[in-house]
Amino acid sequence: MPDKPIDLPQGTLDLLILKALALEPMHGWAISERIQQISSEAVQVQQGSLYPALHRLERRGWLRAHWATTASNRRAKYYELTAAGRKQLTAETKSWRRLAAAVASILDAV
Amino acid sequence: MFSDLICRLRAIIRRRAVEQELEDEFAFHLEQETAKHISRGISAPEASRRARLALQGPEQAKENCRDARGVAFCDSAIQDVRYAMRQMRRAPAFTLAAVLIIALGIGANTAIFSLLDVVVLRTLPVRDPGHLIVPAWHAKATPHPFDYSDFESCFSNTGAGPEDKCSFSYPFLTMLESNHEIFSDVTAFAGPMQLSMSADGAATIADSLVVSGSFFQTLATKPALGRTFSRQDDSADAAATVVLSHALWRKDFGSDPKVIGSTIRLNTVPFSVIGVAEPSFKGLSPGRDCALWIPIHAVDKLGISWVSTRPGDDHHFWLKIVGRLQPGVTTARAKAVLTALARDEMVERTKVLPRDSDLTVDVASADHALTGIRDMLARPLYILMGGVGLILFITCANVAGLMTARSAARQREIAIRLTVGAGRPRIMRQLLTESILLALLGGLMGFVFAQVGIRSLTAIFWWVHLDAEPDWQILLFTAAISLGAGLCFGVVPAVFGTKDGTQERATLYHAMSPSARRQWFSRSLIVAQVAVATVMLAGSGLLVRTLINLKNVSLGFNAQNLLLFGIDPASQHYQEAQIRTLYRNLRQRMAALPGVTAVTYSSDALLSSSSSSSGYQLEGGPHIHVNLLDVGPNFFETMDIPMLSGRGFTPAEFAAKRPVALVNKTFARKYGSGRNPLGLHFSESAKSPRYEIVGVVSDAKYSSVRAEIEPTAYFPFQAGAAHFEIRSERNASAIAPEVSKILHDLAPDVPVMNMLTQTEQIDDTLVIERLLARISAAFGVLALTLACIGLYGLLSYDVTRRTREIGIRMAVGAMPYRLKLGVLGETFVIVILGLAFGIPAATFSTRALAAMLYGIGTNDAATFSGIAVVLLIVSGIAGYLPARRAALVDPMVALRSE
Repeated sequence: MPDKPIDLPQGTLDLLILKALALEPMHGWAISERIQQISSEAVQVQQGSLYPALHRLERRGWLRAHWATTASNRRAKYYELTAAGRKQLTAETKSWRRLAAAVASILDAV
Repeated sequence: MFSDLICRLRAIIRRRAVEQELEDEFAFHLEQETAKHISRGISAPEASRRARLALQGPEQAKENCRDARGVAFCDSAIQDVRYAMRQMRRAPAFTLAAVLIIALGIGANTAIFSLLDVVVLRTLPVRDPGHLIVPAWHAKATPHPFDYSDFESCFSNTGAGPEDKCSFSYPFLTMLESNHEIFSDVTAFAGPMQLSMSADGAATIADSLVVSGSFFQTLATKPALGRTFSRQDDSADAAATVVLSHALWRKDFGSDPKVIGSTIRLNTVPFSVIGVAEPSFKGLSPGRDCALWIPIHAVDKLGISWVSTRPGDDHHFWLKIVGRLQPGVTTARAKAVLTALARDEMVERTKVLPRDSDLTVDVASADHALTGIRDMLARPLYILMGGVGLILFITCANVAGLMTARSAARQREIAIRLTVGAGRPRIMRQLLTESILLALLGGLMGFVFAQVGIRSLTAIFWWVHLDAEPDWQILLFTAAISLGAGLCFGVVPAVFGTKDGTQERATLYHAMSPSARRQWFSRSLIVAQVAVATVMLAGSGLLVRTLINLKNVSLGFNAQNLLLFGIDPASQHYQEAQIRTLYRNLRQRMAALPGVTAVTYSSDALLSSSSSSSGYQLEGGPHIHVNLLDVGPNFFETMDIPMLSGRGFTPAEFAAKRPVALVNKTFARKYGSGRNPLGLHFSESAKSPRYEIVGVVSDAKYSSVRAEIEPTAYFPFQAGAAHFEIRSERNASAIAPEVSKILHDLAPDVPVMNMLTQTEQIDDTLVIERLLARISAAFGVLALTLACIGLYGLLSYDVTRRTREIGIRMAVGAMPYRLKLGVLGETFVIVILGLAFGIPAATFSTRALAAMLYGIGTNDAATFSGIAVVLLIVSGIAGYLPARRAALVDPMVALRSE
């Protein structure tokens, strides 16, 4: 049995969404699938909080949304990164790495 | 942040589309998730359940999305307003009562604030009024020779030190005009004085301001039509010209543009109309609007004695000066320069003042210096503003009480909503929305009330022009106090209403009984209302008693059935002999009217706030200061002023100037030093006539009801402007049409001023007292009524709430009268507590009224105890009704009700 999935720390969901969308536009369900896939199911994205986060990021201007047809010929709302969103992703990745490194060095220190 | 705005706007404007998208997005997600589970071999219903579960409830998630989009706030505000309106429709009686009560409070405030705004707060309707200043001078000595006139005091003289005088001589003005050191423009004016004006038809009286040629230029006001004066219009050889006010043009000339270039007659002299002033410019002093403006030099043609523009007339001080400061000139510098200039003029050149007279010129901004009716009205208006503030407090407390009671009644609803997960802030916001909506409705209605109130208030001041049209400032004021009131009476019920719910939401049944805290709060609201009502009643009691005292003052003459009017035939160029003939004929014709018993005239009407006085030397006695009145034949008989000793004037003394005088009893007592004053002589100076005292009459009030009777001398009337007094057997105003007809027959060209009865005349001089007494009494009754309604509401609510308890107590044998006493006792505890706070507050706050009272002190025990009795009786009635209901509770019905 695999380890119990980790609950996401506050604020990291936004970063994961931005990262997931860095390659290509996707709809909401695909984003949640992608995140779980990449993290080998280690991270459990609460679907209930995924959508509010998407709407929040759209409002901030980091994501842009449009309606398009899927491969199975269904209409879905696709999200993609804007230029501002890309910049934000870089900035947040950097600060996350720094935080992770700092926490790691504290944990390893003794 | 642009995306943010678009997002929010779209959410508001295209709400339905946004909702649909949200709907579709979630539907798609659930479909995909379900399909995923099915593809792993899970049954369709279970797959769908798991998909929903993963979303943690799709509806909750959607709500969070709406929040994330930032539409929730606006959205829920709209929702709240809708909900509030629904609540209001569901309780129309409550809504109507609350809106009416708020409207009364806000209406009263808006009305008084509108008047205060016109009289005190509004600035001059000219460009950049801050740079307009008015100089005034004072000196330790009185100039000699000295001829001084002004139409209103300025600078609100405090009485300390030498009086500030705002009138200057014409030569001083010309000197200032040529000196550009401090003023970029300077002008002067006198008046407004009353001129008779006729265009085509009958003559009317027009308030006319005499102005220098640079008047409109200095004030920088533009004409609405034609042009305003130039310097050339104001010179000795210029044609007589006039500028009309916009109001006069509209009223008397039907807004006819052809009026420009036409001729009107002022005191029979033709003037050509050159322009109409802009509508906003009505005059310089509050309440002294002008109908027309004429140049100083044109007045020479009118033959008015105090207007003097001759170069040698250095001792005639009659012009008020208004100057526009040069950029960068401070008032301190203006003061210094003007003082130096005035000393040059009055001390060095004309030598009307000695060198050691310490002549100094002060300056004040035109807004402050030209007080107009502000001196008279500012204080009463501030007092009334305090009064309406208290009224607003009571109305807020009252509505807060209503809302608290109502939120208690809605406890169950609120508890349910809290239980199903509505946030407390959300519910508080909703309750507040209701309050604010109520307040705004009340404010709207109050604004309408205020307009009605203002109309009736300004009608009391018919003799001043008060233009209290509402403007955006008034609207803003009303909106602000409505909002403030809404927050005040809304916040407390919102807090209490939701707090109890949280504590008791577990048991809905218990949630219905209000907490002790709320009861305590409701009671203290009533106590506060009673206390404030006490203060209001105390103030109005004192003011009403002042008016009663003034009305009961012994006047010394009979004011009943006396008709008055004034005429000035000299304004129509009547000669002295013509005036004598006219007055004789008028007396004869009027005396012959049925019901008229006596007719006379005098230089001033009694109790018209106008009087003259002078200093004399009593031969073999002291320097005396006496009031003067020229009286016509039969004056004392007509006015019912008894003759005490000596004789009246003889016809010969009226016909020719004989130096004889009658004096009043106060004169005799004060200056007669115990002897009979008959045969004594007094004179103004060694060269002037020696007046012989030939009779003594009883004392009568002269200029005002309030003033103590002063030593007065009466002289035989010779010729000039006169005020007629007509004694009638019936109601004096009934003979007014007949008197007008006689005037029209004998002197159709002479305008008639102030035809009214003597009692109306007295009422006019008491206008402030009447205003304060009336309004404060209305406010007092309003405060009392509101407090009692509040009390009644609270106790009725209590009785209703306790029906079950009362029923049980009756069932176990309590006597109905004991229950009745219980409720009444509670009433009196509340009222006595209110009085305990209210009476000390009243003794403190009525001190502000001290200067307005007459014949009564600020801490009048009779007034205060009277108020306490009235409050106890009225509140007793308010408490008795619910008490009786308590006693009539049927135990069986009460017990079955739950």
